[in-house]
Amino acid sequence: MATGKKVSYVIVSTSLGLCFLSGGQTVTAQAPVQVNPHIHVAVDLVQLNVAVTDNRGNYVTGLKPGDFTILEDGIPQKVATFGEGNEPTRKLADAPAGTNVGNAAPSATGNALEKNAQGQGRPGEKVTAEDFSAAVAGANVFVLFDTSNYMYRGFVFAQDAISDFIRSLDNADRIAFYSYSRDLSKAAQLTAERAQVLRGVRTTVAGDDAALYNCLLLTVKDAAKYVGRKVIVVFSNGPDNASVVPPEDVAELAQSTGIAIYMVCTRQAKLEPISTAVFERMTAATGGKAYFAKSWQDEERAFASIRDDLAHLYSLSYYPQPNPNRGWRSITVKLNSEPMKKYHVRTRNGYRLQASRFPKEEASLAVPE
Amino acid sequence: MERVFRAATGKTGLTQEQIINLVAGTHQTTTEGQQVRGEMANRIRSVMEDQRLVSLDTLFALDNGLRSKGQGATYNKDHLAALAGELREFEMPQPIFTSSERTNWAAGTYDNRHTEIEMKTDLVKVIQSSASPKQVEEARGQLATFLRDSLVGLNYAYYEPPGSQVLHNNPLFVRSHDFSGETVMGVERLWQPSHLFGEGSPAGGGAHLIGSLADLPYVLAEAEQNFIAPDHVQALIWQQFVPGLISNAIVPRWWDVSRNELHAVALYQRAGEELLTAASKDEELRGKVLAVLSDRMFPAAHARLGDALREGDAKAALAVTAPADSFYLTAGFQQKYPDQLGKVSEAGLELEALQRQKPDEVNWKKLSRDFGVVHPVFAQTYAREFISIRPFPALGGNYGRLMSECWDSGNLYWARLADEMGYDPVLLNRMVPQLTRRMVERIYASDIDDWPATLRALEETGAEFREGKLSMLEGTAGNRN
Repeated sequence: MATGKKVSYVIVSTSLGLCFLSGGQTVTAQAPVQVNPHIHVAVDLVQLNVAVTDNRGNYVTGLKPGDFTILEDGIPQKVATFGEGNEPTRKLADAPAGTNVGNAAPSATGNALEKNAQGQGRPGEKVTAEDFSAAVAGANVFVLFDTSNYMYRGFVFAQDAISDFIRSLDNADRIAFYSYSRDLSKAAQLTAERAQVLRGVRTTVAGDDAALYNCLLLTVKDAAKYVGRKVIVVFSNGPDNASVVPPEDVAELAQSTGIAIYMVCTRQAKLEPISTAVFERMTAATGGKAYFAKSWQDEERAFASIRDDLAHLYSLSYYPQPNPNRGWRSITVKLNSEPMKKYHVRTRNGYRLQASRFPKEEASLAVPE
Repeated sequence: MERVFRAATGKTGLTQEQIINLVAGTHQTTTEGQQVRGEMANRIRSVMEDQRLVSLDTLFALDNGLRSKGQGATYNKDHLAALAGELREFEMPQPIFTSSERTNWAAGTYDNRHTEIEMKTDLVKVIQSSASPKQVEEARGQLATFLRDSLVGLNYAYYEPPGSQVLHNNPLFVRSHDFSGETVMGVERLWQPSHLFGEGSPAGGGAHLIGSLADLPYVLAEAEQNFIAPDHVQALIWQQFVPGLISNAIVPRWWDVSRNELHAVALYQRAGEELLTAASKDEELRGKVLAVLSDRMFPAAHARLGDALREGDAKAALAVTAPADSFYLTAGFQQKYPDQLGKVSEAGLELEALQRQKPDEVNWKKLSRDFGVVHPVFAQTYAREFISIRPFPALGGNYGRLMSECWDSGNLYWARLADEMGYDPVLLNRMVPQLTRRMVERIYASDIDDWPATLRALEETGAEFREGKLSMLEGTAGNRN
């Protein structure tokens, strides 16, 4: 165990990922549909990203799987995979009978996963342990930029701040860049090519109403398709005047799919109490954090903080023990030995089980990238 | 409900599965038909599940059990108590706001009394106690609120817009349907067409619908339209126009369309194009064609078409002619010059033969019913029909909706695509909503009256589909965004 890089703030976070295996089936043009009238809920893997810090905010590194205790609704869980920072995860336990080890990746697609070079889950193909480790090296970072009318004054400065943030990310990380106003614009799909993402930033234009929570929901769903660590970094001062989904639903989905949300704002956002409350609470619930800098030119601290988080998170996962609870399940992560109990562990406090009997959406018209 | 069931099936009691299969579509005998119908049923089930609605089977069983108890007849107490427990399974989303914050920040918007009352409903006590017949009857009455939600949910699910998000991610959306509107804005919405309320109020618990279920397809599409991510940053044709386009795609069902009828729709369009091509070389025909189209096109577009034809540029003429214009040109030309269509157009000749051979399948009334769009504003009805009118200018406000009621090129063009690719007509049930959504993503207008942008988006989507970039035969079941 060692204390890592010193930072000037305390940040400990945990996020959670779930792999909900579908009880539904893929239907081809030739096969008649078989309807399963029984609701089937299956949780294959719960993935947690955990940050541990000491009282000064230093990241605590070098912890071992045995140092952690995970409880779900008070039921002790066995760690199935473990990793630290950008290192590949290690498999520690086999999946229980009836589950597919190849699906050991966080997803809410409701399907078995395969992966491509980008680590994107697809139905059908199995994932080897080596594939999985390679896929989760680095993080998948989704940047969401508010280009609504509310951003008119700081638009260009925010563009510059986002560009700086993108340039500063670790080479192992893949980045997607989306912008939003009343609707979402996917200016750059997830890629390791920084230039492509930066071009996307420069193509944005300002104007129109703001539907932050609608667009954040879509971003969470996109991010959920990928294996490995996933974070969404939102550049916005709020408010929202056009969404039809509430932030609660977005937060629950992010929690259930293991996606940490970070909000980067200026202090101007503090003038609007509703957005401030949502930003602080949603980010904490998902294992991220909200930052309120003096100005867009003064966001270095936020960027450093997010980078450090990505580099120091522990990645733990478990196959849930039998649990009759079909609703919200609470999760607690603790450190075992007495000397470690002084450290701070922030963990997601639960997830909602999702029934997965039927396909939720249509994906057959997706245009190949 | 028994009367409805009897009218539909001859039986008085149906399970939820049977109801869903009934709502999903008519009985299909072909493999493709069964598959598409199965997909439609799965979509309905998926909405019911994501809205966490109580199964109708549970409600009917509870109703029967409580009736028995009230009448002093025998009933299975433990089984009934277990069913009553299902009423209490729904959980509210994990809260972000405190009650006082809701009061301060969403006064008049946040109101979940209906759901909160449901969550407090506990019939187990009545079932397990020696309750009086009156108490049992009151307990039965409490089932009505759950029944309302499940039935409203079926309506929402039937008109689910393609790629919908609210229906799958806001579990309070159906429960929050407010028929009277009295909880937030007086009784003015009572029996009025439904209306989307509460957008842009983060502390308000999400938007919901107020009013009756009239106009439900349009309002659901309105709620979902901003989840469509355009390919281009700016998409000026939006707001009232897009929900209208989506309504045109989700209201129709194509279970009763024959291959002959599908082929006829394609022939009408091809014959119209051949008429235009021929008119670019024939002055007399040009006059007839332009006269037929003068009632349908914007004056500016009609002038461009005339110029192109006079210059002998058939390609330019076709570029400014929408599929519906070609379709109506054939119909109008055939009406005015009954003996001339086949002489000018090969497709017209084939169409005439088909009309003679299959008059029951290929007649204007049936085509109008199957491939027309809805005109709830123009005609005050959701019945589908062809109304040949000039495009309505955007102008702003509700005129965007009138624009969409003039846009009948979509379904006609998708039908032609299906015919040319040899698809079974039942596949239109899958194709049309998805292709329409994709078309909306592609709309890239330079001004609010940029009708050609819609036509471009239509053709680009069709090209993507022909090139195999949009996989359609894989179906939707088993896939998820």
